[in-house]
Amino acid sequence: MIPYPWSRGLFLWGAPLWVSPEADAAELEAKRLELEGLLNQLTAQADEAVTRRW
Amino acid sequence: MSSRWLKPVERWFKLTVVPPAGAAVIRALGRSMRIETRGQEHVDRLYREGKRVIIAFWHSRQLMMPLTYRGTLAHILISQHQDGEIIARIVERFGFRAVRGSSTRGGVEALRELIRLGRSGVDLVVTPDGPKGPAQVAKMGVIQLARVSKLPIIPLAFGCSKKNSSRVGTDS
Repeated sequence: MIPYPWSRGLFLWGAPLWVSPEADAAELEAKRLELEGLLNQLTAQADEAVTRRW
Repeated sequence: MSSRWLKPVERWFKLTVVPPAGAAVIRALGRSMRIETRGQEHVDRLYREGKRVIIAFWHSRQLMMPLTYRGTLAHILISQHQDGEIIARIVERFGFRAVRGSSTRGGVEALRELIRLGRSGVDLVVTPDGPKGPAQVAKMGVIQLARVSKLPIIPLAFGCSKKNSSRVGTDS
C-alpha cells in the first residue's frame, strides 16, 4: 500500500504474543493462527480509524 | 542499445539510484501526512524492561514502517530477490540492518541468523505472510523464531486514508 501525500495515517501497535519454548506442534499452530488473527484485526482497525474522521 | 549493455545499466539504476530516491520519497510522504501512533505503550513497556522484540506486520503494509520504529537497532528479514536488495538498501538508509532470506529461498540460514541475532539483544522485523504470500496468512517461521529466541512478537499495522490498493514490493 502506498499512501497518498497529505493523507492521514495510523501506526497501530498491538500487545505482545509470547510463544512457550516447550510448545508442541498443536500449540505452535494455535499461535500461528492467533498471530494471523491479531494482525488482521489490527490492520482492519487501522484502516477503519483513518477512514472515519478522527 | 543491446540488452548486454542495458542489463548492467538497469542494475546500476536499481541498486544505486532507486534506494536513495525511495528513502527520500518515504520521508517526504511521511512529512506530508498527518500520522498518528497508537498502542505504542505495549512495545515501550517491553523496552523499559530491557526486552527485545520481534515486530511483525503484513507485507503489503511495509512501506512506511521505517518511520514508526521505537527501538535502538533492528534486523529485518528481506528476501534474496533483486527487489529485496533494493528494499535492503532503502531500510539501511533508515539505520536498519538486513538479514537476507525467505521461506522461498535461504530461509533456513536466515532463520538461524535471526535466532542468533535475537539472542544477541537486537530487535527483529518480519512480514509473516512473506513477499510471495498468500497475503495475510502467517507462515510458521515467525512462530518458530519466537519459540527459539524467547522474544515476544509485537503485531503492528499501518493504515492510511484515501488509500489506493497497489501493493508495494509484491514480487520481492
